[in-house]
Amino acid sequence: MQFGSKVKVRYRGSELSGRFINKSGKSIVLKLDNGYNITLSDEECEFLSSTYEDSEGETDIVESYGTGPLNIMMLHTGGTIASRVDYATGAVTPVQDLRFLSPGLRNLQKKVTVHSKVIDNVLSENMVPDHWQRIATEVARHMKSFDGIVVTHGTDTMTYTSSALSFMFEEQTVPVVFTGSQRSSDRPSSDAFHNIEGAVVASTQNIGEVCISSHLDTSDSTMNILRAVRSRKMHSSKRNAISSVGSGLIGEVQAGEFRKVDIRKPRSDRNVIKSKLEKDVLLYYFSPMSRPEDFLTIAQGNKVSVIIGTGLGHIGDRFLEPIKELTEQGSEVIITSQTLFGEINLNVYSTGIKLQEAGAFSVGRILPEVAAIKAMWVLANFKSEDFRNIMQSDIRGENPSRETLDRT
Amino acid sequence: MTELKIGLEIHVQLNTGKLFCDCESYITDTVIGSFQRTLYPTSGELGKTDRAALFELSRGRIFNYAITDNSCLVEMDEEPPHPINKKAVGTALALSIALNCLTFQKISVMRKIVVDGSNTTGFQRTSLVGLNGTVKFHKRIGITSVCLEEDSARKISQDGNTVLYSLDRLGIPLIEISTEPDIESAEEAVDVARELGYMVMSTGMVKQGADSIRQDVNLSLGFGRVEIKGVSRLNIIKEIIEKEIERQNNLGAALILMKERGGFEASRVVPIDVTSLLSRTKSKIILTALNRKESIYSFLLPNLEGLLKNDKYKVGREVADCLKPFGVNGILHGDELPGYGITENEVKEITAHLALKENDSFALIAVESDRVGELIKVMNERIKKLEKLDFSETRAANIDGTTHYLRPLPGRERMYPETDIPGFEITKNLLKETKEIAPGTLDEQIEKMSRKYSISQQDSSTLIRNGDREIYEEICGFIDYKLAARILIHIVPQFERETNTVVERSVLLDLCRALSERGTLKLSLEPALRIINEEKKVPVDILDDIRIKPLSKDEILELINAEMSEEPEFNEKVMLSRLKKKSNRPLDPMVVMAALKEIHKA
Repeated sequence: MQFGSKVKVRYRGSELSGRFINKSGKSIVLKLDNGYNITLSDEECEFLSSTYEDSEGETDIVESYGTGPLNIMMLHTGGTIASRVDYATGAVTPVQDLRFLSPGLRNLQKKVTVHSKVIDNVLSENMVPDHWQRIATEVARHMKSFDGIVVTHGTDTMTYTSSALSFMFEEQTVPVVFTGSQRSSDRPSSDAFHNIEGAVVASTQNIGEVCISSHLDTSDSTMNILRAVRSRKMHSSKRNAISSVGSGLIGEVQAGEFRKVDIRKPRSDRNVIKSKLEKDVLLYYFSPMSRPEDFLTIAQGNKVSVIIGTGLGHIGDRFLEPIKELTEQGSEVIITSQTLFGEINLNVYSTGIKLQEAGAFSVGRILPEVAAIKAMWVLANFKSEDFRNIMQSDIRGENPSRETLDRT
Repeated sequence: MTELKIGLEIHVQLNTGKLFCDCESYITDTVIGSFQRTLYPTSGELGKTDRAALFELSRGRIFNYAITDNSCLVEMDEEPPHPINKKAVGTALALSIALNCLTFQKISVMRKIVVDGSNTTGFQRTSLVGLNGTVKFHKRIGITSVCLEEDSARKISQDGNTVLYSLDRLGIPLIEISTEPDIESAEEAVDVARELGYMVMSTGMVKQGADSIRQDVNLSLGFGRVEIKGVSRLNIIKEIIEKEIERQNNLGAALILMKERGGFEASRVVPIDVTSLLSRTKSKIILTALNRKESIYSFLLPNLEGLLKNDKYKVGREVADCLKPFGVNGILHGDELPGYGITENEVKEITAHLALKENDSFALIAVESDRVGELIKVMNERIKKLEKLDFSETRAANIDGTTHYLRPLPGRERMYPETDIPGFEITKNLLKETKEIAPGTLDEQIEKMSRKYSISQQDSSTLIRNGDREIYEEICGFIDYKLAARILIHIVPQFERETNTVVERSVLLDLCRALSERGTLKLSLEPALRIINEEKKVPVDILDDIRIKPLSKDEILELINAEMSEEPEFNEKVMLSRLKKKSNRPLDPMVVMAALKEIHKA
């Protein structure tokens, strides 16, 4: 039977009428005329009649919104923000129709014209580096003809994709602003609308960086514009899940107005894009339970191993041998830290010094995931003798040389 | 006249803890933070955006929420809901069965779109537990449905378009029982509400507190269905219904008159800015509006002269009411002007450009210039709807028994599935467990309780009506049934009357348990209650207090001997009262008698 069919059923001696929603296993779900869904057991439910009228679905899709002079391209990749749940099948489908996100754009419609394009439909946990490259290509293609680019993306791995693009775009003519949501946009309380507003406003600014628009806190009032390479998803469900670790706040958007905090690069007059990536990079989480032989097994065959160590960048002595073996074979071993906040320093304790002697090196304050992505990009685009030097320098704001007691 | 039809919706808060998280159900002023949100209506499952939800949007409001110590990320809409509270489901199921409702294979939680800010999510989670039931009180009443839903956030204040809610109440389980419109009089409505209330209370799961049972009244008199929200006390139901009938009849009469005069010609309602004409007014209302930088507009109200506010005709109030949700407090109309400091001359000036014809009236509104068009449109639409004698809408009860306009009736497709919560299976086991707590009608409950505890029907009835059934059954777990009844029906109420206080039932239970373990409950209870009340103590503090310890036989003998040395002549009764005067400790008359017997023998 088709979703939405009008049905009459007999159930435990009563006649019920409503619409057929679905059948799964031995359960039949009907939507009663009062709006409630009920679940009936297949065996006790007798269908008396059913009619289906092909309702006139909204077939016209609005792919641009607003009448303003600035043209913004919004590229959808999937994830909660640009998805709707199909209540019949439970499937998640992408939203291209901008009317759905219009509450977030309403206040901007005289400033911008927003165009929309679905380039992918991937839950962010399913993203792999190939997707990053496809997204980079799409973004690059639209940079010339638009005044700003917004990319909607699932929040789970948004900081990975945006960091990858951040390295790929050496120079950019327009801002690239990623945004997503923690509550789907089919809910009245969705954070999507405000995140979108923040993203579109940021995309009109004089920013030559890849950034993220996300709630400052649980209130719908201030959107943070974060530097992609300093950001991380730090909560599983809260609205302000994506936040910067230490420094990394580019600006804030409040009531449609942008307030600058720290723009590292303004818009460039040209786009310089290096989108190659070396995929053989391992990201490994060290713990007291870790066994060096396991590590060695998975590390071999990778050109770089980024180890997430403890504290200042410490890894148990039992790992010195495997690290030495890897570096002698020509692999690179990079040390980062589980603390996320703070600098890695391998000179303070003997453990750190021994790690250096084994051939590993640390990369300042770079976040572990960002270090891995950067390694993929540096390996693919630069000479190998420059690898360590570039990894340790600060090229996109990922590795600030100082940390102050500012807002974190 | 069409016959009166009334249906009721009873909402009862449960004490089971919140419905979708592990917070407790209570009301509190302990605020630990706050945040701000906006809400946007979204499409329902079948595609159409809900009418009532859209209406709320047009109000463009900002919602502030106070985070209380009994709210977590779930109430803040910052964490997905936890699985549904099993105790609450059991209670709703028990009631559904008692009300002879159809139940289902699973309980499916729905999202009912509500964008007035009273839910942080923008929807209320609700589920249908029972359908198409019937119950026999003095007559058969159809039960439309039994739903289990989460209570909304508690509104604290409103300032223009900004509303403050507290999260303490949000998520408290609420059972909603809706009846068919089978009720035919105000008196009957009160009876049915009371009977249903008893049934729910008898589950023992009802939260204590003034606000824990609320009624909505659905009423139709032939002018469409009017839903009156938030009737908190039983004794006001009758008054609300009577006043609503009066309102509808008078409104109907006024509008028929308006129609006879040619009806409401909305096209003639064109607001004219008269701010400059009133720049020298002494009217306080106008001056306040001018201070707020609002403009004053005058407009026609065609064929409404004498119907706006004149004896029983009060159309003016209906007009003003529909503007209140937009933050406009009222209008000044022709039936009350000159007045409110506006002089006859001023009235002449402001009506000069209106092209008033016979029977026409007019009104003034103070509002920002960019909103006047929208508000006139809202007002015109409401009057046109009323003109068709369609009074259907949602209203709210006032404390004085009158009601005010709240919003249009919600549309039908206002619900879609709560995808974050899996369906809750109603297993055979659950049904079996539930049948044991299934309440009956009041008479059935009285009968059942009186049989179970061998107490009189009258005592049983008193215990249930006083809401003491649960504590009675608990106390019966460790003391004699009759003593338990005496404590709850005589000793405690008498103490409460004398001291003008209320003995908290949890304190009473603790006290009864501890004293019965010591074997002194009968004698020590009253003095213990007194000390707790006077000295603001808790039971554990006073258990060893000498003042509640009954005198031992030796102590009594000693006292009797001392009395006899003063006054050797006595009979038993006199001695008992003399002893009572002498000692501030409880004494057992039986022990006194035994002591006296010993003395006689000696």
